[in-house]
Amino acid sequence: MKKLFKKEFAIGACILVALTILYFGIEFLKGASIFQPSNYYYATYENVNGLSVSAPVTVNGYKVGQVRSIEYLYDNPGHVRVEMALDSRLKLPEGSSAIFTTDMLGTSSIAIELGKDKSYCKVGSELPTTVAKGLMDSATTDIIPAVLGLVAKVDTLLTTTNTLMADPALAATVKRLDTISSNLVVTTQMLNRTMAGAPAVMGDVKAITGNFNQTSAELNKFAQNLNQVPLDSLSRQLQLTIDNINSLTRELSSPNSTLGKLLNDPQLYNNLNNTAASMDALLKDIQKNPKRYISIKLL
Amino acid sequence: MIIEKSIESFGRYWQFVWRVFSRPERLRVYAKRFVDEVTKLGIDSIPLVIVISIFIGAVITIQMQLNITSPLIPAYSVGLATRDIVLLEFSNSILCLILAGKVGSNIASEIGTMRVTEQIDALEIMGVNSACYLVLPKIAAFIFFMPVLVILSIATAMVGGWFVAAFTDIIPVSRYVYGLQALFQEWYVWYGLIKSLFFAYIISSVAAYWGYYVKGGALEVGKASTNAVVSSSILILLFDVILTKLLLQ
Repeated sequence: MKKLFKKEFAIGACILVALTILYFGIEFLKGASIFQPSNYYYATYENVNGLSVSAPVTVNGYKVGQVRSIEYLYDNPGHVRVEMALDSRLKLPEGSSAIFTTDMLGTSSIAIELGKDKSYCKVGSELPTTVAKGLMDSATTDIIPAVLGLVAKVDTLLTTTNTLMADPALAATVKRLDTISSNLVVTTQMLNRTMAGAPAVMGDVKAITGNFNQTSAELNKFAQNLNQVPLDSLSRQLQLTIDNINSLTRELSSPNSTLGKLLNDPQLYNNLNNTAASMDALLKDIQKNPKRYISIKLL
Repeated sequence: MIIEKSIESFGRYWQFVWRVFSRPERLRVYAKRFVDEVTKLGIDSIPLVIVISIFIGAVITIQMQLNITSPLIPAYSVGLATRDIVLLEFSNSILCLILAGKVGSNIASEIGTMRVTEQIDALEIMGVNSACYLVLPKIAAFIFFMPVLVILSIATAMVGGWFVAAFTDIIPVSRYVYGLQALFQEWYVWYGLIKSLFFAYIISSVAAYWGYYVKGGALEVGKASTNAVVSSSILILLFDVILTKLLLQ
């Protein structure tokens, strides 16, 4: 008997769990936040194309609730009333409006634009509504007329282009361009060949600059040596030497000094000349009459 | 020949059903057997249902996310597709195909063995309506408990998808949950539950039929349980088509 009770208990428990899951699961899938109380607001539109129950209601793009029901107002033909369940923590300032927006795929949602007023809307009140321009609306009202205007201009443009293209001068130009480009090909080939030799030249240039480097290094060294030479004392000694030479030449030119006498006084020269002449006469005489001067005695 | 045989088999099935749904003799006995069958067919299937549903829910979510990567398709379609697949097909039709394997073969082999070991003949001699006594509690119990299994399957499949969202970076949890709630139609849940009742009846009655008319020995019992699974699977899919046409259009 106890076992039977246990079995029945298990069955009952399973069914209770399943029913609970069913109820809260459906509520959850409907989008109702089960554990969060919500406030209801209403909005009336003339067209709710693409809006469905549990469509999101957003403020600044953040989802704050969803559409709970949509019903046609039979006593106000042409109007549809939308019931929105919003998070109860959300307070709508007076002047907030419910904007009906449709995305590119045709799914609609409601965006609430908060008003600036200090006071808040009453819970359950009717919000003023606007319908945002969808992509298709702006396409039909703005883009298509603009495109139609463009078409005429494009037509003119194309006609002009056609005339231009038919001009034989254009063909001739193209032909010339062809020649030019073939010449260019040849030129570039030549350039290529020239450039192929360039690396060797560059090598030489490199060697030369290397040498230059060396030379300049040596020049540097030389300049340093030059710096070390005591030019100052050298020039002073040179000055001294030149002074000495100066005084020497002065001595030489003055007739008082011995060397000056030697250079300037013709007396010595005359004497020497006389002596030489006497010697010459003597030698001539000796040649003529050797016996007078040299006695050769052969025992 | 095959047509003649299958029509004959069809007629015998309805004869069997007529015997099953006759007035029970003693309600107390039937109530006790009903509780036993609910435990055996229903409660014992719960672990299987939960495990399968979690895995299938996770796989559907991953597959949807990996295969729906077009910028034109809204991001919430992953959760939406997971929810609708689970509600419309997986947690009733596919689940019942799996249960046809578990429960159907169980019923067919149980009744078949009773027939082979002449227990059914003994019941008949005692003046008990054996078809009603053996089969009616099974059918009633399985139909009774099927919605519970389906609800558990739906819930655990969505939890399986949620596991994928929460523990991998394939899809953010918020986007998955948003998709689950997007464009929800409550009728889908009732549609799945209604379908599952029909499937529960098909599984239990067809399997009982194949078991009840076994002739021969152990080999025939095995064959009967195979037949039960095959024919109930085909009938489930056939009725899936018919019920979808009737309920969703």
